[in-house]
Amino acid sequence: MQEKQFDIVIIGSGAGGGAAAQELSGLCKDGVRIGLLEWGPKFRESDYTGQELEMAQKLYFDGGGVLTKDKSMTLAFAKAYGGSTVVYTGTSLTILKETVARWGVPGITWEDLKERSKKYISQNNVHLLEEDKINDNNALFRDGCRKLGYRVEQFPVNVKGCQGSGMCNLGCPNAAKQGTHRVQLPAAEKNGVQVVTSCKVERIGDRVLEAVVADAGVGHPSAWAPGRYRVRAKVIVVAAGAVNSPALLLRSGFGRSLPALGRYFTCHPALILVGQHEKPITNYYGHPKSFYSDHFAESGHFLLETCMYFPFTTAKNLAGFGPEHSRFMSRMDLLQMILVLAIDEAAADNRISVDGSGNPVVDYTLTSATLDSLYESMKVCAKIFFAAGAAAVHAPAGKKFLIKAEEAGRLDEFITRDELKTGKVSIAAAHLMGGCRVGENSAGSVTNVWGRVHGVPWLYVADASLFPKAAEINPYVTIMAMADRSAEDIRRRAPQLLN
Amino acid sequence: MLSSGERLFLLQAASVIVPEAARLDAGSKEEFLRIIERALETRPVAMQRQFKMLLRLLNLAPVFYYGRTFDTLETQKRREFFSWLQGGPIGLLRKGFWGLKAMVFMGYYGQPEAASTVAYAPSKEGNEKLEKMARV
Repeated sequence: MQEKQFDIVIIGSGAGGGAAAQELSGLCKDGVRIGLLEWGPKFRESDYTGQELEMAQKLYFDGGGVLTKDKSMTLAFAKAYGGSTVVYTGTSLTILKETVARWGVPGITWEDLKERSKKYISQNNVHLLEEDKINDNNALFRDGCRKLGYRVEQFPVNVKGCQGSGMCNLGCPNAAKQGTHRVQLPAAEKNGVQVVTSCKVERIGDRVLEAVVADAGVGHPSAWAPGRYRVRAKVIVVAAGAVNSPALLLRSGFGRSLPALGRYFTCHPALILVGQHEKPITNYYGHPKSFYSDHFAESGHFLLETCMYFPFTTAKNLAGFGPEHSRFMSRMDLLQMILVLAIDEAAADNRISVDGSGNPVVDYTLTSATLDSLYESMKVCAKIFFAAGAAAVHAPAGKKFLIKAEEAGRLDEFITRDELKTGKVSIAAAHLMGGCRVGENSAGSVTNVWGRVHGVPWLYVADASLFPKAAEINPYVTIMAMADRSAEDIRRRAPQLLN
Repeated sequence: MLSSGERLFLLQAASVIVPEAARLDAGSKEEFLRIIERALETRPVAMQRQFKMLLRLLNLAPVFYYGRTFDTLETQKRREFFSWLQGGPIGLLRKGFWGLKAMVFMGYYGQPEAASTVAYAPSKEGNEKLEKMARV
């Protein structure tokens, strides 16, 4: 086993790890050695082909099809230089004041998160797309919502030179999306942070970790040769995401003193709903996610966002099969899509654990409340589709495959709660959060409000696993803000931690 | 990785789930199976085992209802059986069928050639296309 030594090691390079790396990189000029270990490879520009299956296999764990323990839901999260910021749509919202109040963690204020968010919104070129870049799929959602009196807003997005490939979830083939792989990581490397890709951290011990570098077979080669490594560091920052951070800490034995480790996992369970128009609309050209509605966030506990998916993803998210499914699929140019995100409660029993081999297990139960939200959302979306002029709507909990426009007044009859059955309806986790939640003590949380693991002064967490409850919006800016806090605490404590 | 029986079952299931799959030429059928095999290879071993078990179970299960295995049923009965699985009372079977459907859709719609058959023609320069369409 080869030995390596750093002062600070960061594990993971997504929104959290990337932000932490940049914020700590200023220490390099004082001689502090910082390493960042990322499980995935750094892709070459030519690797972004826009092909659905090829990119899913390259970018996502289990090709985007990680299943929960009870197999009711899939989870998609990436491994790459830049983590999941390579595959999101770039939607950049600041957490709401009400949400932070609901988090109810003394020491975490909305004003603080807002200030930190502002920095990343500026760095990552967040702005609203011009009207001529809005395709029909997005405009119809906006217009449908407005007709019905639902509040609807345009998403600020973090793109530079977006050419509207619509392939955001497959990694932007035009290098336009400003994830950490375009902004924070290059800045950190410029300041002296050493990034090691294709490097999986297996275990953390007392200021030491064990890692394996493997040839990913794609992208740039890792900075280290394939093999096993023992890496010593005075500070370790875990930013491997809401599944892998708790899993890493659990298999390293930290669960013995931290009963909340892995628990309170939330994920915004999501449905893709589809309307069909009589004439072609522009849907796969242009940015796929330009508008959202939080009109039902308080009353129905769900959010609505525009989306446009690829053939396989679309097909598997429709309930049904056979001739009517095929006919529907055969005209993707007629389809309008909405993504529903349920705002799920943080429950202690929804948790990440590890199996006998140390691999993560996502033990998540969809509650009645979440299923109720998803059910209500189907009727709301059907109304939006029809208000936008759709000829038919596919509701996964529909009593029939398609509800026609002339049946729009009979939604309660055709979309029923008892048809919303797990397995029949395809549910996917949209945003993975919690598992190393912040809080006041080790009885109910894993870290303090600065991301420092309770009772372990050299160990930090800096990613979405810190969230004590759901973000209730697309979370990446908030992840960066939380990681920013962890980095600030490390900088503040550097004299005692690093000497 | 898949046995000949499992491959046959997948092709028979595919022609019910995506009727067009029955008309695929030999090369596309092979590609359909190759996509599924490759996806399985990247999944945890336990999941690979569960999927193979599911295929065997689904082939045998119609015996209890129709007195015949899936591979000997007519298309209409196969469709009825799958409809029952999808909406039925047994959660594990619904989820298992969803897994089968997902694999079949992956094998069929995951082939790049499928895009042109579903009126899906994305472009890396989508905004240019939008602009042109707006002018028309």
